[in-house]
Amino acid sequence: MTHRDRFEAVYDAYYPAIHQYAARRTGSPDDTADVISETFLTAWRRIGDVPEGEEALLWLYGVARRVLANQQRGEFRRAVLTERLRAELAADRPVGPVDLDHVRAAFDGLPERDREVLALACWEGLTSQQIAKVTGCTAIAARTRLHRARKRMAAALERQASLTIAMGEA
Amino acid sequence: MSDIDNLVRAIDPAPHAPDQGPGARELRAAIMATQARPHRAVRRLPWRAGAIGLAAAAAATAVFLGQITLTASPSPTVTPGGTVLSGTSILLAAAAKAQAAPEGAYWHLKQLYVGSAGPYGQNGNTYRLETSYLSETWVAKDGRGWIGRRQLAARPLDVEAWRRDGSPTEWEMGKDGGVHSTSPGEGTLTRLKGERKLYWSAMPLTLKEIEALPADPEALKKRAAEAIRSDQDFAGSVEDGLPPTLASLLYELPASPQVRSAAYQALATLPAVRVEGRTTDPQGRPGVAVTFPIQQGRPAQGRLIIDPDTSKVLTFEVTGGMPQVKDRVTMVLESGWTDNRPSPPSAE
Repeated sequence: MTHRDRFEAVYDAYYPAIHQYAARRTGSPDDTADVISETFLTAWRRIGDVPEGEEALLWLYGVARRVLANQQRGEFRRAVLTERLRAELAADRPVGPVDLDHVRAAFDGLPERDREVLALACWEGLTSQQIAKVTGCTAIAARTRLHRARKRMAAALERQASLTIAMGEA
Repeated sequence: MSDIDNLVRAIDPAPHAPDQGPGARELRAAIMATQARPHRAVRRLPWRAGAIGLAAAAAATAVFLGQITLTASPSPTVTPGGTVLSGTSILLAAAAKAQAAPEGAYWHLKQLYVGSAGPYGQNGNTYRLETSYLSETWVAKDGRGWIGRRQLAARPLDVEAWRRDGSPTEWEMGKDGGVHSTSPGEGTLTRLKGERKLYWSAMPLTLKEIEALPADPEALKKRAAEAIRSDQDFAGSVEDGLPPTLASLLYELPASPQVRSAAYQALATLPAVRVEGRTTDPQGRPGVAVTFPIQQGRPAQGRLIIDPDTSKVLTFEVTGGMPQVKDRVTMVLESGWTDNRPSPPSAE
């Protein structure tokens, strides 16, 4: 299998997951397009390093995570090509359910570390072992982080609930 | 704790995995058009190189989707029998032949792409390679999809220069992107996840929706116009986009025989489309060339070679394009329904 075949196979298999990962963590179709483009460009450049099977997806999540963290991205924003991708992303931009505003607010109020592990566990459906691979920590550390994040989320939800009741009574 | 997980799951901003759209497929092509670099020698410049590659690939795409000028009416052509048959009637004859098509379990498209690579060699012994690969797509009636690919043997275009260069049998594609070889690569087969959508211009269609396209030429042109308008990046007018969009129904999509017939009839009404006469395709298969300008004010031409006896499209090529985009030929080896199960492409 040549590098080209391998890249095509990886791209076709994991494009939806990476698109989804990026859309969940970016505020605009432009940013989503950037993250997708740069993640796969990195995969193409380093195709020899991409692990086999499902591990490839975790590897890609790890790259996308670094792309998101990298404030320097944006060369692709000016590239002509992502125009169409951007239009495509704008067309099916998801809209969050409104009646869960308090959950959203509680989640948004969590520290970034907590939001990251909760999102990887609940949105990407990863186990703590897989989260460890994506974030580059040990499995034990990932399990601990996830446990603490759930506790802090529960506490934040309680605060949100009392806030909502207080506002309702006022 | 699972309650917490369920609540977090409920605020998932993107609960459904999207399909690959045309933008996603263009991105893949654009990324692969950039030179892969060895990651060990990470340099700060690659992003820039990537952006340039993207622009070039976008330009290449623009050629396919670009504006089409209006030219003279279809020109007369001479059949082997010596009678003059107008271009329009050749297209209409093809339309009549498009009425019969076999059925099968899978829609199957097998194409051979021929392009070039290089220059390779040194000290005046430089030469280009002819490179080619087979690409196959299958879609089952339930929407399952497969893609197959096989790199074919590369061939030096200047044999003398290649001999002086020491007759190498492998050439690096890029710095980290595999090799061109004088022996063919392995065939690969990849099963795609999710339902396979097919794209007409930028419009995603299921097999059922493709089946349901109108069999009336004017109604079909209206639907083609919708498909063209669905391509938000398309800068030209709807008229400009009609020839390539209608042509795509003839070989790229599993349109019914009636719809293919209507597509031929619709093409015959377009003034920009010219029937150039008899020719043979690069595989030596005889057919009739049908051309249309690709981009206003540019010499680039789209050229279909069709077999008027079967109405099948044999070849699509773009010639005389921009200097950075080499002429390239797509030969349609198979396009139709089959009961043969998907398998990695074998050498021909």
